Amino acid sequence: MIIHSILLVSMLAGQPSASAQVFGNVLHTIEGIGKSVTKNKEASGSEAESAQEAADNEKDATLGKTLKSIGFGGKTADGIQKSLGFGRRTKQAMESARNLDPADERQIGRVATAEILAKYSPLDNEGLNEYVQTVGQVVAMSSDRPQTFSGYHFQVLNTEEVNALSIPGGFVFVTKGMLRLVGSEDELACVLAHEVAHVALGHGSSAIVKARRMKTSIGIAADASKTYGSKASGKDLAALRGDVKAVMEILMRTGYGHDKEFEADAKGALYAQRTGYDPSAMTAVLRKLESSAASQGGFLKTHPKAGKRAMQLEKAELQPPAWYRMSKTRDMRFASALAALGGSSGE
Amino acid sequence: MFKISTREAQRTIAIMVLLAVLSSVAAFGEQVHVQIANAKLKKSPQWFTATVEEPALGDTLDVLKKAGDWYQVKAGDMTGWIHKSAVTTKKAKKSRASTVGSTQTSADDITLAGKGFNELEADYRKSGETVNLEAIDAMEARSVEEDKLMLFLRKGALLPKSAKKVKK
Repeated sequence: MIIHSILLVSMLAGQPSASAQVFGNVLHTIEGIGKSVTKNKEASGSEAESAQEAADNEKDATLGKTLKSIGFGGKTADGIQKSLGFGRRTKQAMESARNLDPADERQIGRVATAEILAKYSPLDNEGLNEYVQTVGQVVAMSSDRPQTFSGYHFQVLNTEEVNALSIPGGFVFVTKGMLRLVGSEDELACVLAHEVAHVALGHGSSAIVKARRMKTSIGIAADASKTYGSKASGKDLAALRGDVKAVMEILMRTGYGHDKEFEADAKGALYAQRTGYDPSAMTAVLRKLESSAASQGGFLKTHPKAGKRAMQLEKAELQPPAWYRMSKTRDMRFASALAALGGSSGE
Repeated sequence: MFKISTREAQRTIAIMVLLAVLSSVAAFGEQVHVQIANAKLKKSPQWFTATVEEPALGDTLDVLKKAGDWYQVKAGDMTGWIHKSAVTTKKAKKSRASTVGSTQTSADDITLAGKGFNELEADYRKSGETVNLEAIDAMEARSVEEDKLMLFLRKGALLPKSAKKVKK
């Protein structure tokens, strides 16, 4: 409302014929319309959105009529009307660009995950998948964000590439190749905790928001306001496809950036420690990655050198929790679950 | 041209600061809204304690107090603790901004989510692009119950020996 008033004041300033009384009437009219919009906002769900849409349209139309009735030419009135409507939609677009709620995150994440699952086949072994899911879930519960819209979900990919990756919404993959590399449940927990950290810290989601914000601010605000700001055109699937594309771009080409990988290492080790695992297992995995020829390509090509990551973590001198103890049960269930991988990689 | 005295300016600033403080106090902690599909109210502010209620997506909860990452809330007649990641102070679920494409969340969304259907996914199916939506449905259906997780932690010596058993 303030923005509208300021806009109107600045435009009226260029119209010396407009009297103070008329100016007051215009503001009063806008105020009244604004109140009806506010009232509508209190309704809920899609009914509220439809009411809001109708109120916005009514607001634009009434404003146009009012401006014409007080002596503005048709084109001038239309121009003011469009400017105010545009300002409102752009504001909505900016709001959307600042936030990505958990439901949005999940739906974008689902499609990106489905793309990964089309490129790499999921391993069809429910015992191993369930074991990885269990380790991943206990680690996620110790994270800074234990809950996503539909929870964390873990899947083994049937490839000998040495890798793990996560997608906004809480979808986490680990490859057969990575499972062959890790030597204990503690190490597996650290690998999964690193991926959980990317989700918990919102690395992928903030990249989507950043992409939306750029679209909104670089001179195509009209498109962005149409895309993110109004229900009528909110079903513009191209925008959501753009969000999915942004996620895939990170996963397949650019990565999150070295600083975010270091951050996920540190936070992941902390999550593993909180769960009861030895956080130094993270360093152990990184040292193995450093000497593994199989880990040089794929998704990991966008990461900092594993040796550098290990050195960075060693500086933190992470210790296991006070109650930490070795466990035969833990070793046995790890060996039993990973027996499903069979012998050494033959691919 | 207006002239504003120093005293008037100070008074204006003081009023603005007071209003800002009052509005932030009023906004904080009074009510939160459930923003995830499977939220749980726990008996105590920690995992692996009894679940006293399962509020629905979009439910409004009255905040009684805060302890770390947990809010003590009242939902109907029930009082319990909910993790901050499950709630938002904004009514995001019912705002226009959350209706980008098919991403409006509602009870219907939860129902449809189980079937792996939404407009975006339908669009991908229609265009014949390479996505494996059946596999994502299977992946998203995979989840381990809290009591099984507790048992997993206990058997794997991942809990202090003093840790209590989970109460249902």
